[in-house]
This record gives sequence, C-alpha cells and structure tokens, in this order.
Amino acid sequence: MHSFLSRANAVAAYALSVLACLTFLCFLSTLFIDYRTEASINTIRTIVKSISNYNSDRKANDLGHITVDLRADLSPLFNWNVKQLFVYLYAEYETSSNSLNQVILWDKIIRRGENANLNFKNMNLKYYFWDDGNGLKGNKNITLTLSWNIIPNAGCLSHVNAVGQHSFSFPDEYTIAKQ
Amino acid sequence: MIQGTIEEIKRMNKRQFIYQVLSFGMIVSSALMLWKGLMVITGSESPIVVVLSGSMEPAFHRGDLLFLTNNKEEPIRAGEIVVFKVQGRDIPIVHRVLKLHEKKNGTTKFLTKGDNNSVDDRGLYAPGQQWLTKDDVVGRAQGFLPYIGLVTIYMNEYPKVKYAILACLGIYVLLHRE
Amino acid sequence: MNFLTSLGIPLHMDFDGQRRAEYLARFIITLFGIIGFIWGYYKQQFSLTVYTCGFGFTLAVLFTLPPWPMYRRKPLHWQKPKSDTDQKKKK
Repeated sequence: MHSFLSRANAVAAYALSVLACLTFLCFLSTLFIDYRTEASINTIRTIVKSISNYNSDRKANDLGHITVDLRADLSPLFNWNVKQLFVYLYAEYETSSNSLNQVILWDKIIRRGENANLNFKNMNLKYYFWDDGNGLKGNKNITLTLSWNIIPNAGCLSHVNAVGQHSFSFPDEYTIAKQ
Repeated sequence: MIQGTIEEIKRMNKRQFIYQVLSFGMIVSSALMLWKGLMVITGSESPIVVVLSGSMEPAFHRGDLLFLTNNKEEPIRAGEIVVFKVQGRDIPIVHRVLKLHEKKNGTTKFLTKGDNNSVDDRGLYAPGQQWLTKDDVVGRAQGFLPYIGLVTIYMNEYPKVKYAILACLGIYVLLHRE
Repeated sequence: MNFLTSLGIPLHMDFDGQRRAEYLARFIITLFGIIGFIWGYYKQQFSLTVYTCGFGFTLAVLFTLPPWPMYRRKPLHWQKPKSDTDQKKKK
C-alpha cells in the first residue's frame, strides 16, 4: 500500500514530466521559424584618427569615428519562445596584417514587450572602433552588419544576420585629434 | 528509523544485497558514460555548464543551464557567447565576444564582455593578458534551459543539503526492492 | 506524518481508492497541460502554459492527495483472528 508521501511524490513527478514535455513541444514549435528580416544601415560621418591605445598595447592605433543611421523593425521576430533579443552592429574588414577583423560597435538588449522598432538618426556608437594596428586609414571596404542573438525560454541560442548590409570606406588622411 | 534500516539490511540475503550494489553501480556508470559521450560528441571538456553570475542578465540568470559545443573547425565569431577559463581562476566565465582579429596564419585573438557589465573583460583576465585565444575556450553556448541548475547552486552553497540528498539517494537505491 | 495519524486524521486510502486517485491525478494534470499548451500558443505567451500546468497540479493535489471519503469506500475486510479456544473446539 502506498503511503501519503509516496502518493505526493508520484503526483509531483508526473506534473514535472508534463511540464518538461510542454517545454520541449514549445521548443519544437519554434524550431523552424525564419528569424531573418530587413535592416537599413547608412553611415553619415566617417573619420579616422591615430591615437595611443592605453587600453591595449599603448602603441598608436587607428581609431575610427563613425555615426550611423539605423532602421529595423524587429517586433515580428518575437514569439512565445523568444525571451530577449541581443541586437548588435558589427564592422567586418580585412587589413594587411589580419585576414578578418570583427568589431562590435553598438549593441542593445530588447526584452519581449519592449519597443523593438529601431530607428536611429546620426547615432554615435556605443563602443570605440579600435583597429588592431593601423588598418583603418584608407580602408576601402568596411562592412557594417546588424545581427541578433535570439535568447529563448528554452532552446537554441541562434545568431541571425539582417538582410541588408552597408559598406563604406575611411578617408586616406588622419583627422588630427584636438586635445 | 536507523534501527529499522539495520533490520532491513539484515533481512536481505547476500545475493539480494550484491544485486542492489551492482544496480547502484550501473546507475553511476551510465551517468558517467553519458557525460563522457557528450564530451566526445561536442568536443568540449564540460558540455553542460550552470551560469553562476549575473553578468549576462537579463539573458542568463544564476542557475540557468547552457549546452556547449567546441567544434574546432567552426571558427568563433563576434557576438557569440563563449565560456572560457582564465589562468588563476577556477570558475569558467560565460561572456560574449566583442572584438575579434584573425591573423593570416589562422591564429585568432578576441576580447569578451558581459552583457550586463559596462566595461570589457580585460580586468578579469590574467595580469598583462590583453586577448583570449582558442586555447582558453571551454565551449560556445548553443542551447539554453532555465532554472534547472539552481539545484546544484544550492548544493554548493549549503554542503549539508548535498550530503543529505546523496545519503537519502544511496539508502533508497540500496534498500529499494521491486 | 505520524503526528497527524495520532490526532485521528487518517492518511490511508484503500486499494481501489488509490487506483482511482492516481488515475484522476494524471487525468487532471494532462488535461490542464493540454489546455495550457493551446492557450499559451494562442496567446503566444509561454508563462500562461506554465501557470496553467501549475494550476492543474494544485487541483490534482487538492482532489487526490487527501484521503477523501470517496477513496475509502472499499476497505479490506480481514477475517477475525482465530482464538486458541476456537481451535481447541474444532479438535
């Protein structure tokens, strides 16, 4: 004969396994959704300076200064298995010393229920655009991409690039830093 | 309670007792096999980690579970969440790649930052260390499950709970008869 | 638990009651799980699913854990212990 405690244990275990099963079904129901959408990016001001980077190796490195227009409506991406989007804008370019450089310039956490319609004009960026050397001056092909990391209630942490990138070039001369 | 347990053991015959011990060993070894098998499949030295700090909030809270892979062929890219170890610190850190530079010969160096931190991680690295490399990485977060790891956090913070649970489980498995 | 029994509050169900209690508990939890999934999917809010499931669990605990009279209708009828004097008479 089962005691009171073993009956309580059986009910709790069954409820937990039903909850686990529902979570898995929720994950399955959102597994094949296409999370791509369009974004428009444009650069307004692009200058490059040569400044000692005291954060890193104290040598004079190239520091880019850009302002951007950014427009993207990410509200359709949210569903019942998206807790939060981590949206980030990164620059990708090649230099003579490095075959690939990726620098995140701006990011934003959008939780579900917050305004996900991004519309920024002439925005200053959140992080410094330091190069690992002197590869920004006169660089003709720097690509800006908007991308997001989907953080679910339970499931895959996927990364999606927006449709629509923007390429720009830095000027051939340094802007003298006013100090 | 204790007397009852001793009497229970006395009532079992030898064959039955050995059977219980063996089935207990079976559970332990299959758990170990599962863990090691996951290590082989994912290539990561610890395929499942529990988030221990709030530095990635609101994405990950303390006690959330992350599934890692560490496929050497697949390169790390900016924006990905990596779990890395720093010399002199026992606990691996879960943070996002902020900057990444790949040399022509394929060596990669990168800098990380926690979503909830206002500065990058250079202050967390070993003294004088500016960048992380692939060797520091334990794995890259691919999957997420909330809350499950809270049990292990409580166990680590209150060791008595851990021993009590382990003792109860051990006694239960040894004495439980179909 | 023994404390409750000593107060005269019974904790045991009979065998038939246990069978029906377990069946009812599973039925309630599964039903609320399905309702929660459909409602959560319709509203696109997973927390609704979790809360509905939790509500189902609470209901199941209330209805099937305490030994309500409906689970005690078929108690086992043990035979009366035979006393020594009875056995002597048979001889």
